[in-house]
Amino acid sequence: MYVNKLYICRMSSAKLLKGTLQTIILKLLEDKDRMYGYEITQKVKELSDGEFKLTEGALYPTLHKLEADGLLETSTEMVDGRVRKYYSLSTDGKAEVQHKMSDAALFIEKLQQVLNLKPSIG
Amino acid sequence: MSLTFDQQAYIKDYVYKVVTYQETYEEVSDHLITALDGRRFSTENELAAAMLQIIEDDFGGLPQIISAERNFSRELAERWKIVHVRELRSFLRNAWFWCGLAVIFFVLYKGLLTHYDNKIVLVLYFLFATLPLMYQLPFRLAQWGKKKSIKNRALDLIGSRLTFSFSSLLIILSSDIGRELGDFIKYVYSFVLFFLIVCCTLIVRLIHKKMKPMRLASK
Repeated sequence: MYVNKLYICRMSSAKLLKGTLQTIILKLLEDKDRMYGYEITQKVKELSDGEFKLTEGALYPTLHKLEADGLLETSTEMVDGRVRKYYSLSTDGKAEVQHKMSDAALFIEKLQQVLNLKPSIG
Repeated sequence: MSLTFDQQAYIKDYVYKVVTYQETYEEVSDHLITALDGRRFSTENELAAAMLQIIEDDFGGLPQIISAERNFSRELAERWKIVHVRELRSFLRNAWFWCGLAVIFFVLYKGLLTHYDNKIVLVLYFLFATLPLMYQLPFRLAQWGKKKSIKNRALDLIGSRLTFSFSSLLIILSSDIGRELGDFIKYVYSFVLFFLIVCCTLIVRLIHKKMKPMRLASK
């Protein structure tokens, strides 16, 4: 039963991840001043022990959305003869991290309540 | 082992051919080169297969990249339009604005009544109308030989519309229609012209703020 639940969780982790991607990106950039796209994918993979993989082009559209919304700022740098685009938090982005983190904490808490409730009904 | 210069050039060429904007080209090619760095490829076919695999795995395929850059371009233009309108509103809220408005409006109104067909006045108005486009020119020149920039396009959408509106008004004013306009219509025109002057000034400010990182990067 537990194994089945874990399998379902892994199968849908990409979908679940999409909903929290903005929070993850903002939090990573709060911890590290600036990061580039590929570095973010690797960091997420590393922090989740390879469980979370940013696929289906989810990362860049989210980064671009955050940039367009004014939450991220970008700068470019020449690295090994090519341009590398770095993302960092803007002033609005720094304030938004706190909101997103508290929203995520609340959501996880409520989800926990709901998920714990179901077995007791059965 | 790092990718050779030719292998990097192959990846860059491929990306250059399929994307529309400079920003996407730089970001996707950097992602691919970084992801493939450290791997050994004996033939071009091997490199191409690995590159396409990463495009599929990390970006969801080429159509996804193309749709993402289109969305980004649209989102950025919409966002900057909102920023521009917000700055305009905040400008209009300032008390000193009303004093400035009275003075400039009076000058414009008098100017339209007495010098509406004065060539020098019209040329000066016209130069002001093209100010956003002129200010953006160095950034356009910096993009010379490269792909179109998403940021330039977003600013174009805002700046060129204003310049077009401003210029159209000036053409009407300097034509025979303008000479036959009544005082009330000139009064309305003065207001619209003033509004456009404010908008153009704020757009120049927006261009300065948004294009600053690009200017720093090119140094």
